[in-house]
Amino acid sequence: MGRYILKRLLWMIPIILGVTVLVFTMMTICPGDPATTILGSLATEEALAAKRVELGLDQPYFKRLVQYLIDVYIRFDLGASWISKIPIISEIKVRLPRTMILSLFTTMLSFGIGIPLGISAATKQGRWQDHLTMVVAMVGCSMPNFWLAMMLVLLFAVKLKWLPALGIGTGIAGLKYYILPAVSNFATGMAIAARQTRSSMLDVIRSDYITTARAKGVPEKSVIRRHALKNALIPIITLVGTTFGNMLGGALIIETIFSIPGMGTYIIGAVGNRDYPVVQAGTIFLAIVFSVFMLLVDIAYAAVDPRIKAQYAAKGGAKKKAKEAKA
Amino acid sequence: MSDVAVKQARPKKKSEFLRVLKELTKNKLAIAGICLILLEVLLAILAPVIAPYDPLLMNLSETFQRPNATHLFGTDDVGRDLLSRILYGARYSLSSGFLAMVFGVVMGVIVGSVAGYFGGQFDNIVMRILDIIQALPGMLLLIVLASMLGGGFLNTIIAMGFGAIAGNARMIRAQILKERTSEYIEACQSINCSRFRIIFQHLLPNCISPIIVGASMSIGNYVVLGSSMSFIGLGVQPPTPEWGALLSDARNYIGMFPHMVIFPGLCIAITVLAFNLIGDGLRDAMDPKLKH
Amino acid sequence: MSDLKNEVKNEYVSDSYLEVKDLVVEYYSEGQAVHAVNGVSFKLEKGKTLGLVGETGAGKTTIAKSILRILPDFGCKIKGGEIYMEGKDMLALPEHEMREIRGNNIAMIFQDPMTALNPVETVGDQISEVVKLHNDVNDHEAKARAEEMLETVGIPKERYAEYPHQFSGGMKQRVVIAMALACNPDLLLADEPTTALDVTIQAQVLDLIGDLRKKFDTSMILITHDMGVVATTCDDVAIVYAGNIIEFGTKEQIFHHPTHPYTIGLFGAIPSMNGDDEWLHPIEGLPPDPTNLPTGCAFSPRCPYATDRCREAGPVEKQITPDGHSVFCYHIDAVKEGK
Repeated sequence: MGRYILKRLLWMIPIILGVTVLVFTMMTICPGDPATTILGSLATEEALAAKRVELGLDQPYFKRLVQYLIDVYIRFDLGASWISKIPIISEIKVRLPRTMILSLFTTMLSFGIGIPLGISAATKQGRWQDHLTMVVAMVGCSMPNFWLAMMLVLLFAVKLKWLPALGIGTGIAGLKYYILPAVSNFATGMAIAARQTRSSMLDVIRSDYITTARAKGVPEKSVIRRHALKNALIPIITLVGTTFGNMLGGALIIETIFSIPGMGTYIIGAVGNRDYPVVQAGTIFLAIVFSVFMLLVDIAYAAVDPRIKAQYAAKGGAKKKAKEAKA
Repeated sequence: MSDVAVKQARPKKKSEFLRVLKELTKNKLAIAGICLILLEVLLAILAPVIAPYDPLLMNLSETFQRPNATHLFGTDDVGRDLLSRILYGARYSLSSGFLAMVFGVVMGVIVGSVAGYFGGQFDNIVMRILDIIQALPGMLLLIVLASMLGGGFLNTIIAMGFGAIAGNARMIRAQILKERTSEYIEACQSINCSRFRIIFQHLLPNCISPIIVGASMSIGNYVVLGSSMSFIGLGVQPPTPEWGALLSDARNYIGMFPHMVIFPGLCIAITVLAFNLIGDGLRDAMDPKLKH
Repeated sequence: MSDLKNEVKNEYVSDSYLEVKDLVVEYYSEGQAVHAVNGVSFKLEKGKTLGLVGETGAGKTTIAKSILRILPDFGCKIKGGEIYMEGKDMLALPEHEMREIRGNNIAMIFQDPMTALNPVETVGDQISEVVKLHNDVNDHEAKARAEEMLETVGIPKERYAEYPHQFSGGMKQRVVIAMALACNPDLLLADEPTTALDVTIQAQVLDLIGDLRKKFDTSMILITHDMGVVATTCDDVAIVYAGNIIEFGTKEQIFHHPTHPYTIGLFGAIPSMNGDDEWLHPIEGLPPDPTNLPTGCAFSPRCPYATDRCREAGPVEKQITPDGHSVFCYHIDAVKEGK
C-alpha cells in the first residue's frame, strides 16, 4: 500500500510538468498581443516593441518554455502579474483558501446531504419519500449553478435581505458571505450524489449477500448499516473525485457572480487581460490541488475495498496471497 | 465470401438498438423530455416567423419594460424584446450542446479507437497525454481552451468538444480492448482485413452504442457549459442572443428587473431537464436491471 | 390476539415437523402478476430430507424463501397459505420473533457461493456475526465458535481474517455452509448448493453437508434439478412444476414408480448408464410463462395425455399408495398403459 502511494505521488510529477507545458503552449497560441492589451491601442510601435522585450515575448517559444520551467520548478518563482506587477504567489496565498472553502466545503456538503437522501430513497423505494427525493434531485441536476446563484441572490439578498449578495467578510461573521455561493454550488453535487447513492444502494439491496444477511437473522437496520451501506458506498467514493472537480469548476463561475476574490475571478480576469503568467500559475495550482485530491480518493477507495487493496498489494510484489487463494 | 462469414459471426446490435428505442417509448418522462426538445427545436427553427421583434433591434425609448402585452417577456437594458431574443437564443444554445457532443464523440472515437487498436507504445503515449488533460478540472480546461481559441459560437463548440475528447477516448478504448480479443475480430485478422477496415467496419459498430448513450446523456451538460462560458464572457459574444449571454447582460439589473434573469435561466433549466430526462430513460432502456 | 390464533391452529396441526399448506406467492413486474407459487403443500418429518425437484423458474427458491420470510419487500407477496414449524404458525409470527428463528432454527445455503458472501467483510466475521446474533456470547467466544466451524468444514482457522475474494468457489460454499450450521439449526434449506461448483467439488460439498447433518440431526429441504443428487441425498421427493407440486412421494416411489407424465419425462431426459437407448427423450416445449399460466393443469400444453378436461380445470391430489405417494393428474391409468 505504501509503495502504491509513493508510486502515485511520483507519477504526479510528470503529470504536473505536462500540465505546465500544455498550458504554457496554449497561452502561446492564444490570439491577440498582450503588449497591446497592456499599453492600449494608442501606444506607439516602439513602446509596444519595448514592452514585448520586457515580457520576453521576443524570444522563441522553446527558449521561453525552458525559462518558465526553470523559474517555476527550480527557482520556485511564479513571476508577477503583467498588469498589476503583484507577485502571483502572494495573490494565490489569499485567494486559494477562498476557492477551497467553496469547493472542498461544498463537496463535503454534497455528500453529507446527498448520501442520506439517497439511502432513505432507496430504503423507501416506490413510496413518496423516494419519489420526492428523485424529483428534487432531477431538478437539482438540471439547474445551472450560475442561474441558481442569481435566483438565490434575488430571493435572499434582494427581496428578503437576509444575506449579503456580494463580496467576502472576515472572521466567523464573514462565513455568511459564503452561504449563498455554497448553496448554489453544491445543489448539483448533492443531487448527483443522492441519485448515485440511491441506485447503488438498490443494486446492493438486491444482491445475494444481503439475502444471506437477512437469512442469518440480522435485524433490518444492521442489514442496511453494516452490510448494504459499506458496499453501496464503494462506487460513491469514486464519485467524490469527479464531484470535487465539478465543485472546483463551479466555484470559478460562482466567484464571478458573488465578486469573491478567489482563484476563479483571478484566472478569468487574467484571461480577459491576456495576463498569461497569472493564467498559467493559477491553472497549475488548481491542477495540483485536483491531483492530490484524486490521489486521496483513490487511497480511500483502496482502503475500503479489500479486493482493490489486494490488487495493489499484489502489484507491489506480494503475489503470494493470490496464489494461496487459488490453491 | 469470407467477409460475409465474418459479418455473420459478429454479434447483431441492430435489434438491440430497436429494443432500446422500444423501451424508451414506454418511459413517460423520457417521452415528455423528447416532446419538450422537439418543441424547442421547432420554435428555434421558426424563430424568424414567430418572433415579434428583431432580436438585435435596440429601442432606447422602451428599455427595462416588465412583461406586458406588447413585450410578453419584457425588454432589456437597451430595449430589445426578450421573447425574440430567447427564441433566437434557442438556436445557439440547442445547437451548441448538440454540436459539441458530436464533435467530442467523433474526436474521442478517433483517438480512442486508434490508441486501443494499435496498443503498445503508441497507446501508452496517448493515454499519458489524456492523463495530463484530465488533471485539470473540466471547467478550468474549458476556460483555458476558450481563451486559447478566442470567443465566438464555433470556438465555444470546439472548446467544449475538445474538453470531452479525453473522457470519450478512454471509454471507447476500454470497449475496443474488450472487443479486440473476441472471435470475430480474430476471424477478420485471419482473412487479412486491413487494420483500418477492422477498426471502422467491424470494431467500432460494436463499441459505439454505449458511447452514443453516454454522449446523448451529456448534451444537457454541454448546454449548461456553453451558457456558462457565455456568461463569463468567454463564449458567444454580445449582442448574439445566446441564453447565457442574456443572463450575463442581466446580472447588473437583477434587483430591479428580475424578469431579465428569470426567463433565460428558466429556458436553460427546462432544456437541461428535458435532456436529462431523455438520458435517464436511455440508461434505463439500455440496462433494464436498473429499473424499479 | 395472535397468540389465541396460534393456539387454535396448534390443535389442528399434525405431528409433522414442518408443514406447508396451500402456499401462494406472487411477484409483480411492470404491473403484471407473476404467479411464482400456486398452492403448494407438503410435510417434512424431523431429521428427514425433502428434495424439491424442478426446472429453473419453477418456484422452488421462492418456496424456501417464503419459509424464512426473506422474499424481497418490494414487488413480492405471500398471497395465501400457512406454514407451520413445530406447531408455530410461521406466517403469523411478528418480525422480531421471525428474526430469532432465521439463522438459528432455520438456516439457508444459497445457490451461488460467489455472490452469497459480503465482499467487504472477512469470512470469519460473517460467521461470528450469526453466532453473536443468536447466542449470549462475547466477541471472543463468537470468534472461537466461528474458527471451530471453519475447521469443521475443512478450512484452516488461520484464514478467519481473509476476505471472500481470496477463496475459490468450493471454499466459499464451505464458508456458507459453516455460516448456516454455526447455530446448529433444526432445518437447513439448501438451494442448489452444488450447481455453481465444479463436478469434482460437488460430491465433496454434498458429503460435507450430509456428514454435518448427521452430526447435528438437522432436517433439510434440498432444492435441485439434478436427479443424481436427489438419489444420493433425499428421503422424500416433491416434483415442482410451474409453482405446483405435481407429484410427491418417497425417493423409492418416485424413482421406481414415477406416475405424473412430467416426472416420467424428467427421467426420460436423463442418460442411463446401462440402457441401450440411442436417444434421450427431452420433454417437448417450454415451461409456461408465469405471468400467463394456462388454465387447468399447467403441464397440459406439453403433455401427450392431455384432454379437454385437463385444460379446463386443474386436477386434484390423488393418493396412489396409502403411505404418501400422491400425484396431481387425471390420467394415471392411461399414463401407466402408455408406458
